[in-house]
Amino acid sequence: MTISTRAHLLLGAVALAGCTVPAVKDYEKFYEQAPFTVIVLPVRNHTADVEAPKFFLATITKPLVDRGYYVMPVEATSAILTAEGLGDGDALGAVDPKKFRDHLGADAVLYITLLSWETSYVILASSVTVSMEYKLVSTSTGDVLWETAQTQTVQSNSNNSGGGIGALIAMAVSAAVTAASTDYVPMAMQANINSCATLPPGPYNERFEEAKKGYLERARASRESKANGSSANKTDG
Amino acid sequence: MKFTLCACLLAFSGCVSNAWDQYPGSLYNVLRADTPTAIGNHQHLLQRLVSSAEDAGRRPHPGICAEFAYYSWRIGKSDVALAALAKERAHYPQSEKFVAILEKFLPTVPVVEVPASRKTGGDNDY
Repeated sequence: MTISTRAHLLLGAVALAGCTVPAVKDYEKFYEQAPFTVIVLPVRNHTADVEAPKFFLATITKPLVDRGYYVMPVEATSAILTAEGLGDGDALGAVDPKKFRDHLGADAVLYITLLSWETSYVILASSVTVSMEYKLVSTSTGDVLWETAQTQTVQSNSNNSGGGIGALIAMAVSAAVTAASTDYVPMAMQANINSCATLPPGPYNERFEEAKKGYLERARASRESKANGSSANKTDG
Repeated sequence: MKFTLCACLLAFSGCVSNAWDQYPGSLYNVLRADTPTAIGNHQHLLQRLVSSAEDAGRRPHPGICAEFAYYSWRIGKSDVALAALAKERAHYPQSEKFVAILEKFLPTVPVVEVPASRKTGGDNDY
């Protein structure tokens, strides 16, 4: 096979790849159920840091609400579940999701697992590398509606735009102070925002209907593409 | 005139946005240490979120009135709490079941004494 023939084959393959519709992440069940109300359980902690789960629990409500969901107040729901005898903390992770519908009226339950949490400080900034898993489960059917696993490195606030030695000294002092006071709330917040960006807009988001329509169209195109590919293969065979 | 109006609107939206941005840190303070001061501060922040949204003719963020009710009850403002739950029902009918459960649960919640410096007025401050 000459180089020219190979090049043509490669170009052909690239062109063919360009024509196929990319696989669409399956949100069929998500849109079927369109969960309005979400209960967030206490963060399951697989790290040695006992404070880290609180950073994530405190900072998950805002990005979820901004995404268009009704988030039940985390402390109030925790108190109710404890009073109802469903347990607290990690024990809640073992509870049948349907019980969160029965006891609280939640449409979905969000499980967050903190897998690793590593802090580091350098001269001018501090950062956290965090690995998390999120799983949104229907309280009607137990189906997983959305899940993501991410490892992120989030920097401390480093928007100092000034120049010169003075600014560098100020930044170094700021990093040292940050290391001492360990304000991880903004960093946990950023990690939660990044993760929630992969969650489809919720029913209270004005883009919900548009996103749903777009998803259904992409899913249909993907199915048709697969069906065409499979019938073409049969013909070839 | 137009400039003044725009400036006021910008300042106001900045205020609302700022309170919403402060929400995670305020909630973290309560989760970290469930002290009367932290509870009082958080209740006050929630009150700002609710009243500023209503002043702007918008409904508060979903769940915020319910949370405001919970923390209001915790500092002894039961009337404020019940009024907030009624608003949550009206703004978010999908929360009806949760709101009914919370309403039934609130009388079992112990009340804490908030330091005088964090008491933010009477029952009309909702």
